[in-house]
Amino acid sequence: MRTNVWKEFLGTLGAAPTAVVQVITLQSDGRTSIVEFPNGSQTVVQGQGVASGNYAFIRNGEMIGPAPAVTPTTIDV
Amino acid sequence: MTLYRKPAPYRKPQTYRGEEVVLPVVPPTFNGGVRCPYTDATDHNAATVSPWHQGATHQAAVLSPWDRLAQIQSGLQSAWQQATPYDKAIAARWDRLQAQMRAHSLAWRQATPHDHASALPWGDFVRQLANAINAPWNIPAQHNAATTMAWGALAKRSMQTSALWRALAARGAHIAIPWGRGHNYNNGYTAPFTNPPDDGSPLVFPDLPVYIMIPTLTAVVISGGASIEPLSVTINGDVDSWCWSLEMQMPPETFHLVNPGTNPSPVPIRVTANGYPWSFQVESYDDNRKFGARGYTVRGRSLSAALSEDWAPTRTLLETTDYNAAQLADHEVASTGWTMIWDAVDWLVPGGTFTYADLAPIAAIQQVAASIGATLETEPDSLNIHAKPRYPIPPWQWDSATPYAIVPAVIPTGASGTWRGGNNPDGIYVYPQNSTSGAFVRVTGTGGTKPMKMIVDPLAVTNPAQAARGIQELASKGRAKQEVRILPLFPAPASPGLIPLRALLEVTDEDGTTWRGQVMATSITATRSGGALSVRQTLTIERQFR
Repeated sequence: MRTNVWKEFLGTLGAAPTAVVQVITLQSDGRTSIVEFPNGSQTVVQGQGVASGNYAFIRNGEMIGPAPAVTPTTIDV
Repeated sequence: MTLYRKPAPYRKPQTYRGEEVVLPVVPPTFNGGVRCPYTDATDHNAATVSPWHQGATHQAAVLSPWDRLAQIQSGLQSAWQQATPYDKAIAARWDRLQAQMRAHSLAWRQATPHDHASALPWGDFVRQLANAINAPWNIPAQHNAATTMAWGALAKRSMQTSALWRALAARGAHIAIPWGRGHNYNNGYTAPFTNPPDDGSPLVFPDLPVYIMIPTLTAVVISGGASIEPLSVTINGDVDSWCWSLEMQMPPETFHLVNPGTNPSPVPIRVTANGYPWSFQVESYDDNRKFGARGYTVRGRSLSAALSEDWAPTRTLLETTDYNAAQLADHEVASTGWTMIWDAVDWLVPGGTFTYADLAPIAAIQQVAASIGATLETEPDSLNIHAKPRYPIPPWQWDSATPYAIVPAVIPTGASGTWRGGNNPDGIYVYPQNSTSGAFVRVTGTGGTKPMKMIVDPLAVTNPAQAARGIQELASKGRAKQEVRILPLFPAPASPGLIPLRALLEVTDEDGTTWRGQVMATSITATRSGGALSVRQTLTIERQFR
């Protein structure tokens, strides 16, 4: 008898957050890209499916597809 | 010269012709030896008769309580001639053993409510009385102990001499006496007040010499109202669960009313503890058997369990029309008799954004609510489901908010705590999947320099929704301690009543520390000890350190 199905469901997904990044450079190895998070930090992810300068979704260090270009609004709460 | 004589031929002595008297096989007679004791017959008879007379006394002792067993055992170790009467007596005693055991058991059962009454309700009473009169003797520990001892002694004396007090104690009643000078404190005690202290309560009570609250617990089948006669009940709820859950001990006589095995569908029941009702449907049970007793433990959930995947069909949806989030939730409960009450941020969800596969109605609503960090809560006794923020007030604003209630140190009957940890992040990016509107949500007054992982949610497509989600994410990672406080649950309008989930409380500990926290879980327990009933609420309160 379960009372918190949604939490169980989320638990089955594991820690796999999806992030939106901007592609900075497609590396010469033909497999990886340098991407930048909204806070300015950069990392290397697998995949070159999105052109440089555009936005992409990443998950678990892998580029999984193009994302809309988002300009974040700062909200104080 | 000695002549040789041929020995006589051997004749077997066992061979008889019938008329011989064969002397050698006659056993030696000890008539002389036997006669000799008979000369002392009188003395022996006296010795023999004497224990038989004592036998009656021993028998009487056997019929009396067990504590004379030692005497009987010493009697058994004396003359063996007494074996027969003791056998009878022992047989009689074993026949009576069951009755005597019942008598002993009865005595122990009677002992429990008295102990319970003198320990728990009086403890509550002392605290409440001390609180009501702002008692000066409550502050020093030694005075407190002295007061408790005095009241404990009073309870015992009252129970011995007064049928009313005994009856009240046996029912776990709570007694309150209006403010006034205590008769027992006329000597050497100076009342610090000339008028009753003002506790600020808007409630007006009738002017009566004594107020008595007797706890109540009922459970009935909603259809027909048949009483289930519950023995004890535990009701649990928390901010992450969309329904209340029930565990109830009940006698075998009423089990057929709710038996999931014989009723075609889960039986709706209503459990009422001290006037607060909850509705459940019974979904499972355990039966407990032991020698001489049998009982059942049934389990259930709020009636909204009918919307879960256990009882409702799942479906797959792609919503192609624009709807507000609250409307999307409404659609899931359409034609079910249930009503969604959206107590959280509402926003427009563009067509083509809300989609799911193989979800029951409750899970689909949870998906909408979770996109802004809200959770669901079923009203205890009505067909309403609320979507509420997990933290209605951000923890960093608790100090300036108005608490739901103030809990003085004298109210809780038990306390414990567990450190949870956390790193107090102050910023988070919340992005949609198919929209260009994103947000960086940060705690006011900070630069958002301790950000947490970005959140991407397909339904969080507007800034208000993103802000709401960001608040909940930041709040959930605060440095926190889970405090547990056990409070009595009094029927309205007495206080403390049922404290709702998510309520912001201001708690004062015994060391004078005052802190604020949010109720994250509550457990209502109604237990019987003998005839006395005790109804309590155990609150899990999240206290954050920022």
